Amino acid sequence: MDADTFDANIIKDSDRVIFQRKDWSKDGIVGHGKSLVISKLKTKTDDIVGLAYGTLVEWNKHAGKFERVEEGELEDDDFTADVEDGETGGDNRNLVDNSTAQSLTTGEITAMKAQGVKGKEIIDSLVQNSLTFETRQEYAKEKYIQKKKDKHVFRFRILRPTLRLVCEVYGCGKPQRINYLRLDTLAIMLSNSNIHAGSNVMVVDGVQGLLLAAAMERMGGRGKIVHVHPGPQPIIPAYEVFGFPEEWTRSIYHLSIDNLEVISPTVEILQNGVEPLEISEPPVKRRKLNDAQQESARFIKNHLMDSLMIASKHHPKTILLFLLPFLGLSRNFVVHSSFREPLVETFQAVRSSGRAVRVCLNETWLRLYQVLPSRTHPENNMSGSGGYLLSGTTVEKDSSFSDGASNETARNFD
Amino acid sequence: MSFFNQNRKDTVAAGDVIIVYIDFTTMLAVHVDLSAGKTAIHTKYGAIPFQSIIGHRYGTKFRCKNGYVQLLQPTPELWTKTMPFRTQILYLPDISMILMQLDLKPGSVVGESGTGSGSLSHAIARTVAPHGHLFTFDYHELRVLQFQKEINSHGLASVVTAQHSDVYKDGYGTLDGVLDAILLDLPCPWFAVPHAKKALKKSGGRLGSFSPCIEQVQRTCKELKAHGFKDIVTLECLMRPLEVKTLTMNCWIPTQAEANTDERRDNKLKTPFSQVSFPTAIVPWEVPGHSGFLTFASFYS
Ligand SMILES: C[S@@+](CC[C@H](N)C(=O)[O-])C[C@H]1O[C@@H](n2cnc3c(N)ncnc32)[C@H](O)[C@@H]1O
Repeated sequence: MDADTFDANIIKDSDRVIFQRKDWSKDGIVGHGKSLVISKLKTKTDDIVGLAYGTLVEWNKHAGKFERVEEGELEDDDFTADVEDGETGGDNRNLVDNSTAQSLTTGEITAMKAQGVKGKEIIDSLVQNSLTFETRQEYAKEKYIQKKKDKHVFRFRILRPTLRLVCEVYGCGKPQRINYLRLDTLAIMLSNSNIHAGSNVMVVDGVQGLLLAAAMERMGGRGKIVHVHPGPQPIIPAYEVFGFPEEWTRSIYHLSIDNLEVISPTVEILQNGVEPLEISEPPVKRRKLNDAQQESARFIKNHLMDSLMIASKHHPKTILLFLLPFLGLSRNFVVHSSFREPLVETFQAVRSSGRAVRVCLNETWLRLYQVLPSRTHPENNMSGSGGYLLSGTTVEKDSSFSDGASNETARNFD
Repeated sequence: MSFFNQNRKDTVAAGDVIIVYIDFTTMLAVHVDLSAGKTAIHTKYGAIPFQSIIGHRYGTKFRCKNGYVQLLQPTPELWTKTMPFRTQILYLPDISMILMQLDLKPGSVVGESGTGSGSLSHAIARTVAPHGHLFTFDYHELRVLQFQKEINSHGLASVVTAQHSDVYKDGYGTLDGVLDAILLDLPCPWFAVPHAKKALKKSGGRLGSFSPCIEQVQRTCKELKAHGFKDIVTLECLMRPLEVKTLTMNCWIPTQAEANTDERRDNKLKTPFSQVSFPTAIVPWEVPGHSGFLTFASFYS
């Protein structure tokens, strides 16, 4: 994709898009011969091409294609509209929960679907034919509707990928792949690192390229990104979802973490925190670097970085201490981990390195709400943890530094 | 001087806004303006004459009479921590969430009301620069004037337009269907919703609203729904500071156990205790518990 059409509003063949449904989103490629599997059902996406981004579509099983749905029709919240304002709980003394409570049979539902009856109508029929629906408690009603909706409604909004949406996709399907890096936590990382257009940014990305994509979105192709990746090749599916313009992608320098040491002829930073440098040891065996990796190393040696973000499966201590000298002075770094202990250790090591001030450790917290007339409350389930963040600002190395010899107290309030 | 990395110089120059880092709890934002009456910064370590810091390298120690400070380059985050308050302001967790939820990036065109003290405005300006723009509105004239002064001395004038107007009455002026996103931080955001709808792009413009109280949120959500906004979500986000310390605990050694008796003898312990140290992160007794609710929605037509 090139930069001119990156923001275009019409969905093109082979575009990567987000299929968004309440509480569930997925990315996929649309166009001729491209399919998307939803709830074990294989759909064809040909008919999505040519629509505007933001359009609502629904899979019509009968016609075997996605169809446009008018705005205002079939709203998620309409499903709960039957519950009247001010009425927060029905009377459930007569509720008998057995399978006969639903008088519509599976056969009848299948027949309705085969006739192309829309999702909303099926839900309505189910609700009407549920002998017990009216007597259920409000919470149970919602759960009932949600359960039926998940099963029968194939309605999506087609959106252009943004960081927010891609976080949602990973968050609802595969959070372990991005080390449980939650949307709010990533948002805070982007603030703490002060990433913006025209910067030199380094990311150590063990989160499928999500961190790289975050930096790219905030830089809009202006500036340079050094991408330190695990393994010999960068594997960045989260980055690829965005379909960033080719020329932006050329502003990235990839460097494998295995080759990291080539950027440092003097392993000076190891003086602090980690093992002392063994002079007598034979020099590190240099790997043969390919051209791209060599170019990346050359770039790092010649440019100071403005920001550093780390979210990786590696213990962050040695990586952060190694990379800090590559940041300019009065620049910002931030490290994510889903575990507290490695960051506690890293915190102490960075503090005693004398290379940073404003060193802080924080945990993030996020809570979603249901807001409905007379029925406003926090969502019944919430994310347990978005992980921990260590952040700080670089200063010239204080060689006289040892714990207690500085202005800084051991407290961590910021 | 600039908030942008691209235009930064390594040393302090006359006219810069700098952040003086004194200790973990104290930082000052200082405009090194030689023409204004002020000529020195006063800290607990002694006075710092403006003349003496010109040419000083950012991120290196500056020695005062009784200690030293660090001179840092400004960022929107540091500005939020050191800025002069004229109103309640937004802080880092909410600001970060707003930037993310409104899909802000270089090139975004954003509306904000009210400007308040400009804490959020700085973060938006940094994020949408160089070719995006922030239009920010406040009905308090003095605040607008003060903010305009700040954006000039912070090198943000090309990215920000600050306007004096009443958003409940006059909305977003002539902006019609052009804004990628709008953020409301107002006492009655629901009055601004119809205006926001008009000013937003019809192809998925994003709206955000910050309110401290749940009653405000309920009215806003009702209004958003009535005006056809979609994907309405309300959330709260916080950051919990952790205090890192190495703690020591007394560990009881049972007298009966053979092995431990040996250990006791070896260590010449008089009491049945030994000491164990461990690094840990402590959640303070009191932490921030609420700033406000954030509501976000999209508009499609
Ligand atoms: C809490 S402050 C905003 C703080 C700001 N978000 C910040 O981070 O600095 C609210 C501001 O809204 C302004 N305001 C209130 N009603 C307004 C209206 N109808 N039109 C424009 N501004 C308004 C007030 O003057 C006040 O400055």
